[in-house]
Amino acid sequence: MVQHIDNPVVELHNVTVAYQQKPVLWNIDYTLPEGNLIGIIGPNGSGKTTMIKAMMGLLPLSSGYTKIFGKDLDDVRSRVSYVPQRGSVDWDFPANVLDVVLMGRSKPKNIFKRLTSQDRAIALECLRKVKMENFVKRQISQLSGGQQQRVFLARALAQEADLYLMDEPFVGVDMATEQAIIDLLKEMREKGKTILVVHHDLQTVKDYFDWVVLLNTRLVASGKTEDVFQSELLNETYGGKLNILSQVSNLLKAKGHPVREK
Amino acid sequence: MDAFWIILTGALVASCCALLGCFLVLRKMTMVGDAISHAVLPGIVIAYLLAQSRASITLLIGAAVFGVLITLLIETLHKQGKMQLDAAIGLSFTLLFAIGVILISSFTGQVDLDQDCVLYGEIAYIPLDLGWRAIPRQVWVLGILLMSIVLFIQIGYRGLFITTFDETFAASLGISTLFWHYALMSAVSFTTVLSFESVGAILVVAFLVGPASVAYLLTDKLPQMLILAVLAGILASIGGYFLAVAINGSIAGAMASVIGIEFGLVLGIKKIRRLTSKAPQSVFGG
Repeated sequence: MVQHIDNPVVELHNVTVAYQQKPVLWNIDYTLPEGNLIGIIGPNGSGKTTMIKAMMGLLPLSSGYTKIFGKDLDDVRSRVSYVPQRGSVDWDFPANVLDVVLMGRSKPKNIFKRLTSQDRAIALECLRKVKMENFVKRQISQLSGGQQQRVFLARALAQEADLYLMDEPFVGVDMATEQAIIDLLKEMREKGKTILVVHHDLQTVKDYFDWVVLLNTRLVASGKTEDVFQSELLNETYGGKLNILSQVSNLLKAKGHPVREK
Repeated sequence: MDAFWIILTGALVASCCALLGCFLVLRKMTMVGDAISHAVLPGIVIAYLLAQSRASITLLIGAAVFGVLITLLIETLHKQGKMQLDAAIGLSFTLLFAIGVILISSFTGQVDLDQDCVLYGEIAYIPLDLGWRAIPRQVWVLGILLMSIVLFIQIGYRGLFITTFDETFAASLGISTLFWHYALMSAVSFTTVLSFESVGAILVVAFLVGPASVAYLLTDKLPQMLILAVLAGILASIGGYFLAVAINGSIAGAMASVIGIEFGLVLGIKKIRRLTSKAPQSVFGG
């Protein structure tokens, strides 16, 4: 089930991406509405990361095209922010928090110039928004997982974009950080920003997202959360595996198995 | 005075290599530096044979061409040929280096380049080849190279920083990661060929990797790392010279050995400190 809309922020048209002849994304075709918090849901290896990398032009498309704000990515790049997986960089790199956030103020145009005091002010303001203002000069090697994710988020905020593509921002972060991030994302949505989040904790989907994309190499569904987030489509996305998992959790619920925090 | 010129030459080579080496270490590309340092050999010989001159500029162009060529070759074998990166590096640089060795050995008669000089360098002869104002030619050449590298890093600092720390993010900003990759690789090629005469193809790798690694252990700030790497390099140049005099051995070899000793010392002190300190911050790897 795919709900299409007019004047989409993001449009993927028959997009196929393949690694070594093997398709990772097959014929993806959807449109996404503006001002929404959108969850991209699917099992491991279903092509979620590949899809947002393809949207950012970081991977070649085998076929199809993507449009962002109705245009090619290169025309609207300054309005799009990409947040890679936290684990994709080396956190032992000799840099401090502010260095990383200031990366968000860099553009091809100013790469050879000095950053202005305004750039610094924006970076500091973004650190304040993610409650990391006390860590400005902290070396990134000394941050916890949740703090690393906040720094990545601040870097994205510093780009002052209208569309955010976030790859697994909630993986390996503490509850406080997850809550802080989701509050911030909701606040951004109120300002009309569109946020795509690659996500795989099914329990929180209904609370977090207005719109859901279900993916498993093929597009299973794309639409409003209340229409799309239902067991039939989820089973199709996770192919049977979900069944076992949900049985286990039902069993646990029934037996009142104690849930312990580690 | 000879001692001064030799130490200065060593220090200049070490400083150039240390600065670029920092970025190679952080990009986890030191083996590409190794590959470049060997692969420029056929470039130098071919340039020499074509131009019949040992003018630095000719050799520089030949070396730069091959330096970029091997980075292209490695990328192609790795990405298109689906080879493991380390296998691609090993295969391509030994091939090019072998071609260089064959070229030198078969044109030995006509060419004033000999294998020993290319492989091991001969820093002891540096003071004999005087240039303008009775300062050795190599000191001029390396001095200008060092200034160019400092300028390159000064101007390109942010580009190098972003593409080194998070290449994917840099690409998402529209910054050309290829440009920065090849800019750095070209700089490494230039440095390698200009360091040839003094330290040779094999030991230049020690200068590229060693001081940067020492500095990486000592600090977690990039500007400090660059400065400390240069200091480690200069120290090795001074220490190596006196070590070589004491044991009457190869000067370049002694300099490279001192880098190894520096690394061992720093690593050892760090380990001992970590074991003895019970400070809570050690939990976070600080």
